[in-house]
Amino acid sequence: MSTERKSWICTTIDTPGGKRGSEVVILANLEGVADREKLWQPGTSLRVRFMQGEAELHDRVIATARAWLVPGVKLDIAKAQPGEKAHVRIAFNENSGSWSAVGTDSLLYPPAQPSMNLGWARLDTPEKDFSSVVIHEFGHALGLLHEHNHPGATIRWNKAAVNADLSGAPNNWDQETIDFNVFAAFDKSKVITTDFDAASVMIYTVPAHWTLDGTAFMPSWKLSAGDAETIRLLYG
Amino acid sequence: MDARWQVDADALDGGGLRIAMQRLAASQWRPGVVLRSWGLAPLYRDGDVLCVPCADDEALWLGAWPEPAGGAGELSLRDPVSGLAAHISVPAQQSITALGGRQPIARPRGLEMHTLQLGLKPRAGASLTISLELMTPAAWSERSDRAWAALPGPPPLPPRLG
Repeated sequence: MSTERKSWICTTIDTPGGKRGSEVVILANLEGVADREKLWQPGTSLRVRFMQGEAELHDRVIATARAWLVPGVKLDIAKAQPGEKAHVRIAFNENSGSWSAVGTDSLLYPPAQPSMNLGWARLDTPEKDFSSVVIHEFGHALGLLHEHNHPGATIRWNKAAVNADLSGAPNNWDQETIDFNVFAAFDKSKVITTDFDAASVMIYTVPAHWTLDGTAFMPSWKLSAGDAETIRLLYG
Repeated sequence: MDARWQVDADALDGGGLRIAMQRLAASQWRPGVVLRSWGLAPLYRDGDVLCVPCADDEALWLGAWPEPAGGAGELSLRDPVSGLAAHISVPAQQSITALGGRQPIARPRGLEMHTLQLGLKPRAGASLTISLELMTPAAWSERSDRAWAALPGPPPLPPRLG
């Protein structure tokens, strides 16, 4: 694993009018967090349009994203043909990091705009690094949310250290953005809670100095067993 | 013993505010900038005194945030010897990195021990003042019966975000 991957974190994009909180449902008896309001219909063949990049890179992205199509999942992921409507539009803007709209929110983006950016995925990106970011972002595109926002995560944040790191370069986030992306936890009273999956591909990288008890998290570069069960339940 | 504050996981919890002393190499301390944390200073409560170790080659800064979210309050740190003091209003401000804008909050040079006064004034609730005793690591370990470990080095670079 490259040292660089340790610093990868993505953001999810909530569109205006997008829903969090009471509409976010955490599925019982499995690990994972998904937004039920933003799931695709089971059986959907997700068509992906690439707005930049060479064909070989596109093929690598699609092949990697298909890791979510574990046995029992009634979805497909394929490149959109010319003229065909795309559910997901991908850019490779290196200056925009990696992010994705959540599930069907992708459809709310104007056709000329990407609904996902893979700023750190290139043809020469090492396999584990490439898989890590592509699978994570496609997890969002399929409706999954960040695992560290799971109410069962109970991460004891050293918020001063997190704020100091994320308010500065290269991110320069304001407090509202940090609170939303990092510290937010779904309201237990409004969701069905379940186990927290520290091995999920959907968790942030959390270095030890970001927590009061020294707990650190490193996301998996591939689907965890819990991720596979989650996607199977959502789309099986 | 004042029950309005306690130490939990090396953070001070009082009046709806959480306070943790952040360590970094003294050579990395700069006035007037956002400092990174290289790790937490371990805390030990001895009666109503908060004991904090600080090595000669380290500096500390104070980080504070509301816990649970939504709280607010005023924090002050005063050096009764020099008379220097710093104040912040949480959550708009979340760190005290210098006293009087010049000196890092670290063990003052040439002193074995030094006591600062930490003032908490929660938006809801009574004010309290806590003695914060900066100690050599050896003295702190002896008093707390806890091991102290030197900083392993700087933390990884902040994550890149989209």
